[in-house]
Amino acid sequence: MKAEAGCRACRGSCCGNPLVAELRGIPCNRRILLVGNPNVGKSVLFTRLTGVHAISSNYPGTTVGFSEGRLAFGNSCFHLIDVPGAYTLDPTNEAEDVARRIVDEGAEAVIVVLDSTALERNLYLALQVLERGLPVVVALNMVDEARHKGIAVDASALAEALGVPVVPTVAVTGQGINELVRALEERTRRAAPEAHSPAETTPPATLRSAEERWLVIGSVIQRVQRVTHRHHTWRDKLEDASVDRIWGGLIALAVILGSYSAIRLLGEGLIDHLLDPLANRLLLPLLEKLSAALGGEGLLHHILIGRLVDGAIDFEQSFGMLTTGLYVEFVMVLPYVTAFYTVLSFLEDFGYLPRLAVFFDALLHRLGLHGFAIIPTLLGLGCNVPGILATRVLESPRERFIAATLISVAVPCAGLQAMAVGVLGDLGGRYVLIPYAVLAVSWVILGRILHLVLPGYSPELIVEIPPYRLPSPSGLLLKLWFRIKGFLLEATPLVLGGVLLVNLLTMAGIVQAAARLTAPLFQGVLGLPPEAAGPLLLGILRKDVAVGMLVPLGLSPQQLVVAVVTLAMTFPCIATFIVLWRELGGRRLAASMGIMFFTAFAAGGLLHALFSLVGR
Amino acid sequence: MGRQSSNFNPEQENLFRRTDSEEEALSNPAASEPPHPRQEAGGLRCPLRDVPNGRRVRVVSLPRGESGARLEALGIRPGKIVTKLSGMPFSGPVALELDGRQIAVGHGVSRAILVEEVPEP
Repeated sequence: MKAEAGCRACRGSCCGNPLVAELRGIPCNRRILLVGNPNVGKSVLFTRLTGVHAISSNYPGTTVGFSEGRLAFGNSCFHLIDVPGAYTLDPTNEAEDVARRIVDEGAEAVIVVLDSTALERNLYLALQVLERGLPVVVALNMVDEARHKGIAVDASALAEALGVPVVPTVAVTGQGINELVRALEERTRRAAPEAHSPAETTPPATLRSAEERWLVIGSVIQRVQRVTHRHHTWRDKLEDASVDRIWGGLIALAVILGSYSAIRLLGEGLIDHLLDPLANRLLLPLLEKLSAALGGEGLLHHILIGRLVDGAIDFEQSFGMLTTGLYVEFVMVLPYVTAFYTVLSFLEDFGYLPRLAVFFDALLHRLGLHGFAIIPTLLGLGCNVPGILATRVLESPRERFIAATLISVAVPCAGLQAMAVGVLGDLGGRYVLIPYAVLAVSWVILGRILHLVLPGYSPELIVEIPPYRLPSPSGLLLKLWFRIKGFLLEATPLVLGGVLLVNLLTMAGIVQAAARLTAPLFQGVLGLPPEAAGPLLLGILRKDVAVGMLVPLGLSPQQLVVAVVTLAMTFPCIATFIVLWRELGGRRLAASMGIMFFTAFAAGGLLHALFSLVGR
Repeated sequence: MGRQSSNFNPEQENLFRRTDSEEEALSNPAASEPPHPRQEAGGLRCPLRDVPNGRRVRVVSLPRGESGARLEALGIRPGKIVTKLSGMPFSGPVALELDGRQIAVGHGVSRAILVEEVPEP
């Protein structure tokens, strides 16, 4: 890509690592901002311009922080900053606050991305940026979708009205990108923000009132936009049906059940037909040779292969780095993670998730959240880390605290689920169902309590629901790959390191000591044998490994269920802990952890008591 | 965030008891928006919540405060024509259409947006 090639000249001199560079370090005259309403395609455009992949989804608020990448043309190199989506620079939420601060710091140029299908509303932000006197280039995005909807926007008339260059683009296909870069080049070449063509809409940098802006927008729209009537397409009908109280309910139910079945089917299919055979036919013979070479025992054998079960390697029980460690991550967890993200990414890009928010609003409102919190929650079902990060789309700190706490307590990640379903599934369907039911009930009860107890109020749902869009297969694959790569990079060292650590600690007798120390708690409250303390404590490294460690203990089905539930709810894994800390700050983190600890033991203890009552 | 807790009780379905929309609902005088004479004559005003599904209405006034600002940022302003699409049960949100776009607003907000009927085209 053009933007990439030119950048070699300055690599290392002016550009840091685009993923870690702090915005602070970038002088304003090296910045180019990508500004626009939520969900207008900024992130897609960003990826097109820089080649740095930014996650995009078909709902507002995907970019809650900002991404930053290199963009070069001519002889100069700039930092392109993907500013979080904002409807206005008078902030109504955190993302808009970040956006305003970045814009107010100034930049060499600003690309204002407009959604051609909702021009009127989009122009509001554009005017606010123009009023700040920044050099602007407008990307009139989604012109293809607008055409489909019967909306024609005259780009040159818009350029004249705004007094800045306007380039029609279709970011997903790359249409107009080269023209955009050219316009940007011209814009930045001009010296300082000199007065450009004095159209009536570009006054000196004074801020208008909201009313004045809408008046200006009204007159601009009249000149540049023509809407022709067109018939309702199947997409419109589906969009309307999706928010109907009856049809929409049926659709929501179908989507949830369909997603669940699809994930099970895809996950199990990958395990049974691809990864398990691969492990048994390719990996096992190699490991057997290694085991024999090591003499079947000894320290190294114990760490790498683990203990032999009936003289043979057992992937689920041997507990060596290369046996159980690899098997847990690549055969038991990875397929479900892949399946989960395939389904989630499709729903995201199709635009279904905000509609789900409409259905969950009534429930979530009673938990001190609003419907949109369903999106972080669903992301949390894959991995708690992105789920907690996504709580930034919620407006108030109160909501973010409730949402983040609920996710880390009662939303099991895909790794834990895959292992729990694998381990409990052999015992019968109801043993799989119980942990899910307990977690769901705890989620509701805890949310309700937090809502009643915490001071402050939570704002109500006000959200734009994007149109349905058929996701492009390549975009979907790229996103899926990005997420799976992220999972592998993060999980591999922790899983392998976790298995290593467990083995070392066991050999040193530390696990046993910790087990003795905590035995009264685990035995008394949860009815678990002292050995179960080890896995529960080491859940802090990775929960999937911890479930794996429960297998060789020979627990009863009831004990296993109690252990899995407690494991799911108590101490977050290390990655989740770090992100909670970052998002909530020390004091709130402590509160969240206290709640977590208490809830986990309350739920586990109650479940144990219930099992004892019903009789083993 | 200086306001008191909004102990929302579903049984206690009273708009004015709900702190999050209290101020907004109470402070919803059309006085803030100089009413157009024709609008004045345009007939019944009612909360968006109470409009039958599928009906086109004109927005008369918005709740004040943060919700109002967020609605305005989304393009819902006095004078705009919107179509109410649906209202979810159990005090759920209202879905509406504005310029071909769907927008969902929470129950309390939907009761604080005042609208009036417009003749069918």
